[in-house]
Amino acid sequence: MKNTILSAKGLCKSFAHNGGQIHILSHVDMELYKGDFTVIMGASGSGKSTLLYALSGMDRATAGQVMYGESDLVKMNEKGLAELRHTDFGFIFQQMHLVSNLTLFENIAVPGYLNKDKSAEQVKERTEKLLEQMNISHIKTHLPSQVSGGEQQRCAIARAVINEPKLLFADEPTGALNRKNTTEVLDLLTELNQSGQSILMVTHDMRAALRATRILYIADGKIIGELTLPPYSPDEEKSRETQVNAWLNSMEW
Amino acid sequence: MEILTLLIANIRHKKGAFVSIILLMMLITLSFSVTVSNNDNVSDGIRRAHISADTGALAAFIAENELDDNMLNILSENENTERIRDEKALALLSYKIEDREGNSPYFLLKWENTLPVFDERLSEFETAPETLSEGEIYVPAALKTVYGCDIGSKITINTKNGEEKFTVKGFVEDPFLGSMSIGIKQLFISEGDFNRLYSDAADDENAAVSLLFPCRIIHIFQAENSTLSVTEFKKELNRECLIVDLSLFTQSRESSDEITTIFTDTGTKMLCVFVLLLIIIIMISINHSIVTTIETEYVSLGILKAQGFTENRIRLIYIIQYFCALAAGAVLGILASFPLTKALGKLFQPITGIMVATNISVGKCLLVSAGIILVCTIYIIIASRKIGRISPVRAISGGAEDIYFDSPANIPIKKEPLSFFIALRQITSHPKAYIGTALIAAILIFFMITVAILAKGMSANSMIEAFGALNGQAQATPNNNFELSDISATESSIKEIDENASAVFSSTTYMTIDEIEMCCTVYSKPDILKSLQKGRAPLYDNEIMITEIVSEEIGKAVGDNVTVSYGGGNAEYMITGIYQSVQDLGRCFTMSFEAASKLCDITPDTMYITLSDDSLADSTVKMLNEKYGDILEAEITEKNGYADSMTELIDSLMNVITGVIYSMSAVFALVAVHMVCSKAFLKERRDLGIYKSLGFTSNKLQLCFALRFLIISVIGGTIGTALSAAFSDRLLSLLLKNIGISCFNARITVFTAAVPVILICLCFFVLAYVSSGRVKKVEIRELVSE
Repeated sequence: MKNTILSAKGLCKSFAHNGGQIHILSHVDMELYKGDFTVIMGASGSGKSTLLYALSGMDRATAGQVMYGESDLVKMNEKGLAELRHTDFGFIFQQMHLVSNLTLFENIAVPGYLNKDKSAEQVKERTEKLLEQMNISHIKTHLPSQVSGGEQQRCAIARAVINEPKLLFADEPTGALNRKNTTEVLDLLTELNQSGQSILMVTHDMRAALRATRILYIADGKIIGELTLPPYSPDEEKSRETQVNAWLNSMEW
Repeated sequence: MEILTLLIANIRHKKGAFVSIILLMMLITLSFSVTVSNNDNVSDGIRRAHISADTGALAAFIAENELDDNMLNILSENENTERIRDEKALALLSYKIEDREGNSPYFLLKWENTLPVFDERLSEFETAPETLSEGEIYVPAALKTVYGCDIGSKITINTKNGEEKFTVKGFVEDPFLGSMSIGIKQLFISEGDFNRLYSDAADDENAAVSLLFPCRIIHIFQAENSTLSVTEFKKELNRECLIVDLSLFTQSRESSDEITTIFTDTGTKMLCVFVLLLIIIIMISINHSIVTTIETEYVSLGILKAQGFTENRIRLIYIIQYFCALAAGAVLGILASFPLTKALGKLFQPITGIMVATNISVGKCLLVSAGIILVCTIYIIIASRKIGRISPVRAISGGAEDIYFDSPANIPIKKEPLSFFIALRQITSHPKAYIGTALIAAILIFFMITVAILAKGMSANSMIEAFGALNGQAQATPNNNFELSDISATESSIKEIDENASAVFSSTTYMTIDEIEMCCTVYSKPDILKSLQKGRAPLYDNEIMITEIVSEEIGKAVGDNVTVSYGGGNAEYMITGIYQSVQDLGRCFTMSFEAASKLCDITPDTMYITLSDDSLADSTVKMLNEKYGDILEAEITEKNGYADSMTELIDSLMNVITGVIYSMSAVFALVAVHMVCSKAFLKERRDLGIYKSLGFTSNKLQLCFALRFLIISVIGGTIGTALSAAFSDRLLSLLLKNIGISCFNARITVFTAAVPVILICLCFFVLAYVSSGRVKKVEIRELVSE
């Protein structure tokens, strides 16, 4: 029996356009489970990123509920959402979005400093540890503009997990990376998941999807399919790819 | 057409910056338009009033017994004289306005309907002023301000037959002596009263030493073809007939005008300096706006270049854009100055005593505006040259990144206080963007501290001592029986009551020094003056001390000899020191009674008594009146009409100037902070989204913004305070030289510096917090790449 970490019920998101309404998400019902590496896939414009941001509270849904524990993120005020972002949630963006005038060390440490339960020393220690883990400690005093895209994304992952979030949201984290960097970033995410980190990732990259333990397929603002997979192992990548490919074909991807 | 399209798009897109420049330029134009127009109006008013009053280039107030036909002939026949006009007058030394005693000589003249009479509200002239009946008197309008005199008020004069009361019938416009800043006044009574009093005074055998004696006011008109300056003209006339030496005092129209316009001139100079500083601020703002626009719109500008726009074409758009803002601001400023000039005219009318028009000097204002716009345009041309460095290829490939945060400083970010360290990083990572803002804060604070120092320095008590005057808890007026030998006796008696007391006798009169008439104050102890600038106070009977203004005028310094003449006598003196005095706007000198006795007998007219304990004042006054009642009359120093009104006026003027400067500084701070904040917001929008995604609340981010500007303003405040310490005294000395203060010793106290610094820092903090309210509108979704 899996523990639900976040659930959505009747989630809708629509925009006013030329006097009418465009529905991006239409009554989405779903659950995310603790320890899962969930991937949302879908065609361009299917609403997958919108769903990710609605689920994470970064964007307000038009209707419905997003329950995190006892709290409904749709109704939560800005202060509450901000609190969640530096305590329970972590975010990784496609374009990394590191603060350009902070060093890699500071980019990771600053959200840690927001955590009132941890002392500055504890934050620094954890930052050093993450820098080691992400293999970027040798460039920790560099500014984002002075390092490669892969290094930036590894820094962004470290930043996302500095406060040991219960759920990590990743929006196309490999979308702006080359093949080598993509593999490095996916390996790190897999490693994190296998050490117990719950992850929700949006991607249209097949290689990224292979790392998932659960894939949800979205089309026209609705979840229309779900595939459950065993934990990722590099040895089974070929057979896993065949299985996922076949399933995606059935989803008319 | 393409330029027009881009221009309109630019203005629409950057409304904030456009409006800010309009507002700044409007304030600048408004400031100088109001002050310059008011100055012109006052000058025009004085010129008109002089013509109407038939004022000579020089007027001598001379006792009737000193004047003879020969003197009048010499004066009228001098080749530099066009004509003379003389009229009978009565010199009045003792009088009361209501119950307030006056201490400057007044002159009573026969009312001949020659001067315009104000209506009750001093807003218009009476078209047909009523003639005076017996017991009625017309007085200059300044008496309303100085003594609170009104129609129906009583003026009591002392005649040989006792007190005589006159009722104020109305107020006249006297351009020569009517200003509030001139102590001596001309009052007008009916023909009957004048003839009676004149005849009584003329018959008085003791006329020369009485409190009301006949005299003559001789207006001397200088020939149009005369090449002499007024001072030279005066010297020449004195050489020929001793008119200056023998007169009670002489006054040129030129110096009367200078004194009348002293407040408007000083205010104008002060505001001109402020306007100059504001022009620097507007140029800093324009530069910041251009530089940040180039940074934030690097890609768009690169695309324009790629589409065939030349560097000059793009620069032209910027030039036209800022030119339009500056021109619009100038026009609005001139328009807004209409009601304010009217208000300022009304404010100065009771001070100058002159009816002034409320016209705007449109031509002059347009010319100055054009000059400012030209300077700013040249500056824009220089500032926009960076457009030439934009590379279309790099811009299209998003290559603006390397412009951002070009000088990261490694001040580590710490957990507490996190907002402060993030704010500090925003500054140190892009310091160039904040240099201008810090400079703006520094300039505003410099000027605010300067005004605060001035206000403090000009306050009643500090001004009296620092600028060469005396004060005390008690005063005494020696009468004609007083002799110089009585000085030590009275002083000894006072010391018996308070051994630390000091009693100083003085007498003020006009003497010529190297043939130039100056005010001379003779003291029993000239070394008591606390405003010595150079050298030492005169100790011996052949020594005098002069002001820097006199030193410049006669071309003599410490150690030089001068010839002083008075009452027909003359003697050589050595200058031993330079001191500062606001008396007669600094055109004065001082010596001891021993030194003055070489010229003629001069007896003291005032005694200032300074006691170590205020409570001893009563017993001291009582003792003096009992023991020396036959030679002097002592009294507690109370609020004195003229001096008190002057200090009150200066205090209120300083409050108005301080208020105006502080308010304008706040508006400039608002505009500058808003502009810089908006640009920073545009540049950092992405970072703000990131911070939000990390869990920063909008309030925390606003606090970061506000702290950033607080740090900048503190840096600016430090620079501004240092600038004040270095330059405020020099600036004030330069501005106040025309009122006799040639060496303003600025004493920056914690209070004078702290108030402006705190005000500006608070303004910057609050305004940045409010201006960064747009952080709330930044959505984390903006970070999403679809």
